[in-house]
Amino acid sequence: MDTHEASLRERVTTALANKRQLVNIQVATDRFFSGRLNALETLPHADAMRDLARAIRAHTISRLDEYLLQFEQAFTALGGVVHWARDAEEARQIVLRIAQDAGVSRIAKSKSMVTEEIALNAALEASGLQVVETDLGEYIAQLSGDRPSHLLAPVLHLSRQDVGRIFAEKLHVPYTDDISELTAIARRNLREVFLAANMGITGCNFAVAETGTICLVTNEGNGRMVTSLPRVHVVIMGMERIVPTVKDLGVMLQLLPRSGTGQKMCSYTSLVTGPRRRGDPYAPQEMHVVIVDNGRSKALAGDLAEILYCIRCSACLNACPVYRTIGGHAYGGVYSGPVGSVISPVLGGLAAFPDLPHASTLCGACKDACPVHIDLPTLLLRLRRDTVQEGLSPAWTAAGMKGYAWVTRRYGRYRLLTALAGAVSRLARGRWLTWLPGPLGGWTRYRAFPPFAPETFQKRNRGGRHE
Amino acid sequence: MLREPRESHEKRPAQKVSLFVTCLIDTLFPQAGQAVVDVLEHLGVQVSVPKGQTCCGQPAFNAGYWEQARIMARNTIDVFDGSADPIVIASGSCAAMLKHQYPALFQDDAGYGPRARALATRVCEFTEYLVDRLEVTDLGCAYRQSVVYHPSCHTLRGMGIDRQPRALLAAVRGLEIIPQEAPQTCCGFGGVFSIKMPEISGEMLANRIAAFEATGADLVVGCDISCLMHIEGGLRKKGSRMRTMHIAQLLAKGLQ
Amino acid sequence: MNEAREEILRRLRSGLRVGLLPGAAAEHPVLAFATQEGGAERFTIELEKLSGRVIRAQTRQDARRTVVDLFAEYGWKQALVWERTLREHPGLTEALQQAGVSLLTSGEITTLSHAPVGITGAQAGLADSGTLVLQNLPGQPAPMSLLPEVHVALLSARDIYPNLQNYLDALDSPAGTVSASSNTVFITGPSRTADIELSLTVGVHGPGKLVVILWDSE
Repeated sequence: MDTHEASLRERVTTALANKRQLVNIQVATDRFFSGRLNALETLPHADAMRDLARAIRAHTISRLDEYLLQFEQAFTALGGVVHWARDAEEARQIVLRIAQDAGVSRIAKSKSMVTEEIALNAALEASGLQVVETDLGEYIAQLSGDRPSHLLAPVLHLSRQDVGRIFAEKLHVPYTDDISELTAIARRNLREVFLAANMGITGCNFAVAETGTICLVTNEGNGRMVTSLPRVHVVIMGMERIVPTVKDLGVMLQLLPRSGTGQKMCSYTSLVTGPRRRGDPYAPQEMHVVIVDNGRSKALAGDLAEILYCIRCSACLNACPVYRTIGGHAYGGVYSGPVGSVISPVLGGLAAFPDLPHASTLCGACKDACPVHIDLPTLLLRLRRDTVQEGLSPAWTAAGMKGYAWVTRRYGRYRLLTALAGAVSRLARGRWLTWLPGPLGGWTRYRAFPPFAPETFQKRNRGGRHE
Repeated sequence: MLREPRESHEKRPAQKVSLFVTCLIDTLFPQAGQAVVDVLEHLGVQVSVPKGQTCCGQPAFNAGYWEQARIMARNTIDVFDGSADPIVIASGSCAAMLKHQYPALFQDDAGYGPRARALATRVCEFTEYLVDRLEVTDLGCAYRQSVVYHPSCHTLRGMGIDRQPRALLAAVRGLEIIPQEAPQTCCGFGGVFSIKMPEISGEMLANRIAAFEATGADLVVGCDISCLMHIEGGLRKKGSRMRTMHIAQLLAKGLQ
Repeated sequence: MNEAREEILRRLRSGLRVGLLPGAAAEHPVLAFATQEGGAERFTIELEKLSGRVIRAQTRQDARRTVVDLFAEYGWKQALVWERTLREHPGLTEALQQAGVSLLTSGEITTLSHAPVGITGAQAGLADSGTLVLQNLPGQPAPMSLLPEVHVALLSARDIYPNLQNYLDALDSPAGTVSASSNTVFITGPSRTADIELSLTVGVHGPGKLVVILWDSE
């Protein structure tokens, strides 16, 4: 467990050393943060809308089994196939089987966090299938073997020169760092991918139970491409991504783009309702939805269930002073920012992420920003409680806390210790200290520590204003 | 020389409050505690300091050590027993701890549960007490300094307090309050976070100090001594001449 | 697979008995929102903010003439087009063919992919965001608005609603409308990305140019 803390701190140190990336992160998050505020101002009844969205999410999660069954019924009636996956491995096997049964070999993917969560790409490639990410940022990350660093801006950490080099090396094109040219190169290359793909894999922003509809939101148009052109469409869906009705979807769509990028609507919002119908021009012949649990049902059973209300807008990332300081890679795992600090340990277990819940000052900016008012600080506190209960807290913290509780349990002990501390400070001539031993040295590396008062306030007021 | 406050306080019935000192003020900044008492007494409030206060338990609670937090909380609840007077706390974070977290910590406790809930109803943050309970914003203070106000996160979001300290500062004659960029950004203290994640904490602090220094103000004023301690520690390490001051100290100085 | 389904449902049901779900009401929450203001003028402003182009026309005939003028302006000689649009705008086929434009209403995707422009209708517009609503159905296929570099959409001002909420409320059955097609798309401006250095680039995989010909009355 100490190694996990070391590795978070190693990642943080690396992140803080990359000044250029830090500037990019600050520019991006500033833009998204003010974009969100401006966009919400253009939404009539924004507060009522957010309250309603929270109520819809809460109600839906409280009846998740019913709504999933309703979705299954509607989608199956359209000729689609619903699969259920208990964990990541099962989900990967299902997709492989679908690909095998359908005889596909070339897969075009639209960005999906849950597919990264289940590590789908590696499994597909290992069995000889070609998988190409088609969101520009994800495409660049895939080419360079890198990991996305922000929910909405995956290669925030790269410059256009970096992208130029990646394209030159991996796509064998002449080097350019002109952004329009780079985008045109990607468009040309990926157009061939779209036309040649026989399977499209997407995630799902929302699924509508009453109609069996899958909703996908993108700006580039790749979401439309991979859901219209290949003959097989597979949707990987975290099972909490469901809303009861089309009108509920409307409420979510009014909030999602505004909360994330500050757009009123993204360029393309696709509502895919089943596979090709008779007489349908240009639609997939086969459509599958893989409903993924992977720890979500376990989250439901405790006091962390509220995290399932999340609509993955990234408003909390853009508001978080910690995220804005260290960026997404430092969090490790697939999800970053405040939501990542909760969902990663909830889905992957605290033992794998014991440090993430502590990477926060609990300032509450995330809760203010969340369109569905998720109480992230309280969820983080509960995870910290669990960290301690599961024995994942470092020895020095445990010793310090137990000692602190021992001292403060009785005023007599407290008075003695504070008198000692006051005496020590007097020896240091009442100066602010610039060095402290052991783990406390973390303080003095960046700050001076104040001297203890020669007499505590309570001692000074002894014999004075008492009951 | 004491200035006469604008509002007449003689007509008001005598107010009585209990003061929760907070361990940081008690052990590190007792002068801030003295300032709180001075301001309250100036306004005709009778201040009692119940014996035997230690810590509200917030550092343990925030670190996930809820059993240890309960130990400290029980002591606090015991100390403040036997009175219905408002409990004034010159710290937004400690006030939030008593008001919101104590009832949650003892939710299922038959003994301490009702007592924690009763205690929570008495809690009042210092500026909230002055402005909302005593209905005073102008104490008749004068203090010639330029300041920037730092809204501590627990004060601002945890207790919903912002209007009150700003109103009190606005009424101080000669005080120049300088606005700043994105004032509600966290200073990076976060309790144990400051030593558990010192690199992040240090970087956040550096960003905040840069924002303060950009205002050219002499002082950073706030309602939470934990943030102020953090900020001043950073200012001193940097060799800056800027200092911090708790709002109670500023008001008390302004009364002299 | 069935085993997984049963297991997941069992986990859900037992979890829901003990889980803490703040704000969850047993009733499905519904709220009515007031109808907002917003028509052709607002639609135009919003779409132009997103680098879309809006050309106003008075009548359906004017709209047809505008299409022909547009083709002359850009010099396109081939176009993908909805059969439905050709039906709804009599004379359009002849006018374009006379101008030397070859029209494709169907075909292999690889063939369609080479056309420089696609002409479609739109069943609705949303004023507060400059959004078009299109559904994939016989006679009005999706690729026409997706594959070419330019998308030209013919929209009647009468079909513009103030916002998404008001549009859904105006439908007899939102579920029925959405279910009528395997693919309903809300198009808001041309395709875009800011993935490289947060610098906005218009025209990625979808059309880089969107022109809406907005006509007012018959």
